[in-house]
Amino acid sequence: MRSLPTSRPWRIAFYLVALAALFLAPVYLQSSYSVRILVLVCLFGAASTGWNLIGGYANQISLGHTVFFGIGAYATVIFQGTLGLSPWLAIPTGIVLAVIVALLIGWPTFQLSGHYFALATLALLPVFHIIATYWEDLTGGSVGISVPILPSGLDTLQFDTPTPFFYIAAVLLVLVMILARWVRQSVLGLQLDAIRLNPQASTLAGVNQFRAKMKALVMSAAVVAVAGSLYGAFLQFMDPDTAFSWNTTLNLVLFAMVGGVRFWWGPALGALILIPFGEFASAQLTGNLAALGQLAYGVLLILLVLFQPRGIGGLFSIVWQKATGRKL
Amino acid sequence: MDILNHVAQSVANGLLIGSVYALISVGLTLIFGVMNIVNFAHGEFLMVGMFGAYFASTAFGLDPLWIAPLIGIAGFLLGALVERTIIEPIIKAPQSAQIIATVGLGIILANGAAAIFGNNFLSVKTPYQGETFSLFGLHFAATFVYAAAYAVVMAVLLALFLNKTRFGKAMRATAQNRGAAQLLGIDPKRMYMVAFGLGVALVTLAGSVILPYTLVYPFIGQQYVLIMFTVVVLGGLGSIRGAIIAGLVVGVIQSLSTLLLPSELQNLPVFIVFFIALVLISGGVLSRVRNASVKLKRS
Repeated sequence: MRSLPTSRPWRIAFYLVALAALFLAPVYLQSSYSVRILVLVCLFGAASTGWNLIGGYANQISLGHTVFFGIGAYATVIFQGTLGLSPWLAIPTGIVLAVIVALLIGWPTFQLSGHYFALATLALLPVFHIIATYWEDLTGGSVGISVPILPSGLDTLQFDTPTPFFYIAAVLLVLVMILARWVRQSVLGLQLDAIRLNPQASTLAGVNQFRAKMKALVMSAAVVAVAGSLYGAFLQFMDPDTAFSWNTTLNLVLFAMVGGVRFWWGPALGALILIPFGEFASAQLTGNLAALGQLAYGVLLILLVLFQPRGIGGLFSIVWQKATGRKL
Repeated sequence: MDILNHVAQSVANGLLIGSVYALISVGLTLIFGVMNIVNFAHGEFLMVGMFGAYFASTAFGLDPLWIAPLIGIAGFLLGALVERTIIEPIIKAPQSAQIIATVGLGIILANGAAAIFGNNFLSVKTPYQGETFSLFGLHFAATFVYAAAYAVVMAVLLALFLNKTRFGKAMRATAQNRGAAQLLGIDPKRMYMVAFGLGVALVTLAGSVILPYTLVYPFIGQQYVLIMFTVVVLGGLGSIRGAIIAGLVVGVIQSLSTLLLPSELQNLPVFIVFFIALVLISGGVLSRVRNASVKLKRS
């Protein structure tokens, strides 16, 4: 049995404080620029938490989760921009499409051990970029699709200030984190843990690896698709480079790695640290130097793998254990 | 007759480009075969080779085809250095750590190139760029023929190295059974360093060789990733002979698809082949075919 809290009331108090800090953020962050960044933290934090369900919990590294993100994003802008339908209808559509792609990619690769899943997911990315670029009737080609300006409100997901959108994104993040925590403590979470630690032994212990991985992948794809749908609504624009960018995949992996892949709150913590930092860096570095920010990401990934594979969460849990004598 | 000619021309083009695909992928499969690591930075090493050749060509007026062996040697040193610093510590780590480390390496290489050369499409000029050869009524661009010739030479050299030299045999022994090889006095760490160096050498050399017919920019590795992985998976992860055959097959499929599809979509059939290969492998079809052919040989 893992993670007994030092005491339950303390933990609930901590969650309440964290929730209050999140939802009151627009009050104490007065500039709308900061709120916009927080929207990105929530959306990418949620997406990274989704990636972590399969990538972190089961150690099945997906390098193609951008595809689910892009499917969700395109669903919104196509529904709103081309069809004139509600973005709320786009979200389930995006989920269904993403889950279909997830099943198609998981079905052959999860029957194989080894590197096939990572290889296949990476190969998925250029294919969707090609489809989005050349299926012009649907996606507007490389020009992309813009959503026209509609009356602001919850039904159009367009607002005069970024603050209402922030609340929607924050609710998504909280829901996704609840899901991630629930999975971590469910039977599925234990199965994924077993697969991560020792695949052969997990099979001997009666874990159906294929089914467990498929369940995690489907949930993961659905979560990332919803985050993508809201991202599309937030930007009110989508083109192939934005939807199916290698950088998105990279960010999802990196946030989870930095925060700690073994913790349900790890990816969100990573996003909270790295997105503001990235925004700051890209404002400072222009021209050829812009690449240096990305280069730092690469260096960070390698350093994490070599020296701190458990991320900040790992450091935190060591400190916690020393202070309280209990495991986090 | 006209259609037949088109198809023949297209198959011939596919074989030329396919031999280059074999050359860029064979290092990836060699590294996997010996070290059991998928090098996700392989496309970026191709880009490094292209930029190396581009730099030599613009700064010193050297032809990429002549400079290619030197680029390959430099690539070997780079690969050996990378293996010692980044790959060696994680050789026994979980697969996920290896994926993240090589992905991180690729990011560093691509963005390092972007910081130095800028995010532009660059190309070199060579005197033979417009030339074509004609044979049996078919026409071949000189740049592709030279690149394919390089690929054939390198395949022969690699086969000689692995089959005829003591070092090559030791490397194959390590690939087959690390523990047994170690018992016979083979140092696996040395084999890993050389295998990784050799894999990078092959792909950087390939980068130099293909430069006369293509453009280079820092993120071009991404474009080749799909093809490399398709070739390596289709050929059977770790099989060098498989990768060479699969490279030719992928080249021909891609080339034939341009008869029906716009050339921008030529990677779509490649992906379909990749996906079918995955389904076949997961269903055990390929291994059954392989076993059947082994039985045929025995009888």
